[in-house]
Amino acid sequence: MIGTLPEEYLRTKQQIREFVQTDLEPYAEDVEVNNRIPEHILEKMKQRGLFGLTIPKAYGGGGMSKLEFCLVEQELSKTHFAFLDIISLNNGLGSKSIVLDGSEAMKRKYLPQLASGRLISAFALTEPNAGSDAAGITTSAVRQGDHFVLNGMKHFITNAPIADLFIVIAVTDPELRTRGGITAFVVEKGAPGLTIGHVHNTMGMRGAHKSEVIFKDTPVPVENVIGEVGKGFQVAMKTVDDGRMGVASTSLGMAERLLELSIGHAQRTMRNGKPLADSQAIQWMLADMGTEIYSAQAMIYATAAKIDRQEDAALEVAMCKLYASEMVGRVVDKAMEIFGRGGLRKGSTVERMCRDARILRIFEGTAEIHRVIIGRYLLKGKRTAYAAVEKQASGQGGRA
Amino acid sequence: MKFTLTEEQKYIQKAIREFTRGEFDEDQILELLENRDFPQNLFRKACKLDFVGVGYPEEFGGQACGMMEQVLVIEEFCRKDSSVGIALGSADAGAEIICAWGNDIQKQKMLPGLAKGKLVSTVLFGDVDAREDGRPAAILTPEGDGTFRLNGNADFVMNAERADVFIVQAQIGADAPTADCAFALLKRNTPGVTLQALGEKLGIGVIAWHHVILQDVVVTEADIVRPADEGRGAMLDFQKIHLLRIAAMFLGIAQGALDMALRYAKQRVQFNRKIGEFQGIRHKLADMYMDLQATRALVYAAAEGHLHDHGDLHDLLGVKLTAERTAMHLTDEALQIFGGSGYMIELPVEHFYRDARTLRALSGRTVFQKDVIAQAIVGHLT
Repeated sequence: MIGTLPEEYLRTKQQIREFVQTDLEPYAEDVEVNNRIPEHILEKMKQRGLFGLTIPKAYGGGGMSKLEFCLVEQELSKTHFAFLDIISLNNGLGSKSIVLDGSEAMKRKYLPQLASGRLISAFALTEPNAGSDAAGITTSAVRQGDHFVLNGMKHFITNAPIADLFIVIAVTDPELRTRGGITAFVVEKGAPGLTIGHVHNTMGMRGAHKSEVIFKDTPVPVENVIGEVGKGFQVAMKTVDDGRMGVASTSLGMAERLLELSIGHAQRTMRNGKPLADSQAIQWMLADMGTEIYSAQAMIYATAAKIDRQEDAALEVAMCKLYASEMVGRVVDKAMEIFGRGGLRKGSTVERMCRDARILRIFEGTAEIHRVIIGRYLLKGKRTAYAAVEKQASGQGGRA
Repeated sequence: MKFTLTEEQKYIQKAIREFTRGEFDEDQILELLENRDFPQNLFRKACKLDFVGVGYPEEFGGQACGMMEQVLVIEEFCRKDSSVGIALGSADAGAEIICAWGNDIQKQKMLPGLAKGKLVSTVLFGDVDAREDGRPAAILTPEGDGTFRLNGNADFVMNAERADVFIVQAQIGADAPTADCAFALLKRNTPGVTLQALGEKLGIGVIAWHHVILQDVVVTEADIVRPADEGRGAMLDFQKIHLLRIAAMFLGIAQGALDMALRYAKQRVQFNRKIGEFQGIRHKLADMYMDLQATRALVYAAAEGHLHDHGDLHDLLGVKLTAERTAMHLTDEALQIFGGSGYMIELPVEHFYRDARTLRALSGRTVFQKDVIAQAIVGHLT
């Protein structure tokens, strides 16, 4: 699979890998302990254009394809999760809706600043009573003259405490809801009545802050509507769909790092005069880890390429997210077994990734919701790209 | 499914449930975890209610209960809270050694204090994997004047900072294969005992862990517990009890995870329905319940069996590994059912998940433990 990647992409991957090793990884522990990315590192990330990799070049971004960006996410996930998390919003949930559905004026106003990292974005969809059931949101937006007035509360919102810009999904018509009653808005920090509520304390993802966002009679100008009034749910779902490849790539990168660390540990750790790696049980664990990583990688690269060909890849995207996030869970378990008690120590990458990886099966749609989506697609007759290729091949004479 | 318990066992179970429900306060526990404090108040109360040391002989402050009662106590502690449960369930770690092989003076010196919570103990193992050829934590070298010098070290010792008494798995003399197995009882502040803090860890935040170094610690005959058969047999017997206690912790953690998941699934509404109405979630809960009950049957049977003979080490390792797997499964699924809120430190399911994984790693490597089981059932084939 890796052989089919364009030279240019492989170069990007290598550059990010080097950046991670020389500039980010030395600060991984710092981020974990102090619960924030040092300012000068953030500055370096901005200088490298990491905040706008997927934003079109016309608006100051890197114009990366999905596949190339997946490679970047994969490499960035091999160090502290906060580094990827902070750029993932501007490259995805925080900018995608503007790129896809925003007006030209809105694009000009926000995209260059998102690309440079001058503005940090957050995506406010989830509410206490609307998690998996995103359509169940109650934050309301009522039109009053030339603006909408927002009221409600969002929670678990990544980047919220540091965000300059919020993409907010709210109900404009409680009767119509997803059939034309939900609208997406850009809301700037400092808008009247917008406050950051409780900052969530989570198992992992230190340095990547999540909090409640509260709107109390917050006025938002009508020109801040993304796309059309009433089409917000569709805007949101397209964006979320796009972000799911990020979770898959993150899972892949983390799993690769864990395998790398596990191999090193198994070779170095002596037990009764022999390296742990001599144990067949350990070898088989490594074998399973490597095999699952390879299959996730094959799925992710193939799916990203399909997205880049502008083909409908919704089914494959869901499969990538589900499989890769569960795969990294299994890889974490095996890495912990290989590291033994030492893997429990704070300061060890395995300990940190055990906590960080657990979110991957939950956010951007839980594994359960993904099974619902995939099952529904399959029953509707949607087929994977692989099935299409197979059909084509058999049509041309099939097997010899 | 109903498990057959004696009237006395039911009484103990009920009393502990009342205690944990009445006294284990979620917010207070979260505060303890945040500050990494030992649950001293809860421990004191548990001791006062005679929930610690139930297995000790009556004349030494206990209630002469069997393994089954001990399992029930630990299970209920951990069911209500994994971190506090493990802390309370291991505050008198190693007391079984004194019960089984200590002389009356040693028993009198230690057991009533442990039962009342005036003393806390910990065990220094050389080998947590319970392998037949496991090394001891330290070596006792006779000095000729009736005293011994103790040298050795143990890594990842739980509660060392707080323990008044270290129970050190040792051998007498350096010749491993024929050496006598013994346990040395040390006070923490004995000269030659050094503790190195290991910092924070993944879970069980209410108990600190240390690397303990023993260098030329002088021990007298009075502080040495010599098992009657002077061999590996005693060590194995102790390990079996230890394994059952850990299995009981895993069982309690698993039950606690199911309790939380059920409660949440019955109240959380998504898509205008309780999530517990969705077949996918219902079957997850069914799988969790099946796993839990099978594990409970196994752990209880092993605890009951312990009365008659101590069972085979490989079987008890199997019991521990099964309970461990169940706890891993149930804490994982429980957290998943909670979704995003399960990832928040504010809800206990989050630390149940970390604690199960921490206890797994602390109780030895699955790989080596399976070697012991395989050796017992397959044997040498050359």
